[in-house]
Amino acid sequence: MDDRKLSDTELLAGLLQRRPEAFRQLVERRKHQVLNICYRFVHNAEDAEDIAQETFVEVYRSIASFRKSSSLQTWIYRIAVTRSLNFIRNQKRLKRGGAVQEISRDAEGAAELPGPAIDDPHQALEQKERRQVLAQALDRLPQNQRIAFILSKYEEISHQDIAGILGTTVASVEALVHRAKTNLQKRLSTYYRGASQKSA
Amino acid sequence: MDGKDVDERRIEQEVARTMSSLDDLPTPSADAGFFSRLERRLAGIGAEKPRLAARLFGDLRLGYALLVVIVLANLATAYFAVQGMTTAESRDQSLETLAAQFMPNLPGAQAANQWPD
Repeated sequence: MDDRKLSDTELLAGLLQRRPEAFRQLVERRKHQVLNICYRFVHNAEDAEDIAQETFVEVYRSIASFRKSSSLQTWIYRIAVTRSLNFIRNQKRLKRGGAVQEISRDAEGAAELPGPAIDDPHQALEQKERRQVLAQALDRLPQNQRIAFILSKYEEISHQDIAGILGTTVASVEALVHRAKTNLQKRLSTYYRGASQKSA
Repeated sequence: MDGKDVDERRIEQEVARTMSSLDDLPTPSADAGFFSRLERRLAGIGAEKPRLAARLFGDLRLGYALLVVIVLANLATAYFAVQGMTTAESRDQSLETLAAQFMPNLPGAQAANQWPD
């Protein structure tokens, strides 16, 4: 097996020729980012791995349709985002049967997010509740704002990559992230104000 | 500072904490077996049995045979449908003749009773 690290051009040429070594190198180079992108959307490690694998299967199958209008990695990330969103949509469809179920699913999803180890159980519970609330607020954002916000939280993805994934400019991505934050702040303020009034 | 301001400040702090609750998410890493599992998945997809229609029409001769069977089935259906219509017509005529012989007062019976010249 050829263990030499292929350049990006060689990698793409190898993929187009369906060379197994090129595909192996691509997966090894991108699996970490792809897995983490999926994880940030679906909030579950097993589902994220499954979607990441499906992403690479699609890359393998449809590499011939890659048009080079974006970089190969952006194209792969875009597939990962689309597949993650489809997964969420399908999950919702499966569990459809009332808003209560949907909210509880979101809450369950958020609850699966492992946070940093917090020794104080009270603090851990508070953090868990915050993630549930944020997940629900995120779910109500317009899709491009949600994508921009979620991906901007993942340090290994640049705004340039996010722009490529969304098919827009870096300036637009920054505007989307800003708008997402503003909307989230408004929604969260309303939520906590309501909760405060109820408890008063 | 009154109670309202305290409440507002507490809400702002809670919003800020909630907004940053995903900042410290761990980054799961794909283990060494990721590619092996992917290879198995790809092999599994390649080995999937094609669907029935694809299998039938994938083989050209089998496809033609199936087409002939479908055409023959259609012709047979058309034949029996026409046959059924003819039988129904003759049955209606017989009933009219019978009605004319035994119930001459029925409308249309007189016409049926008259012999052609």
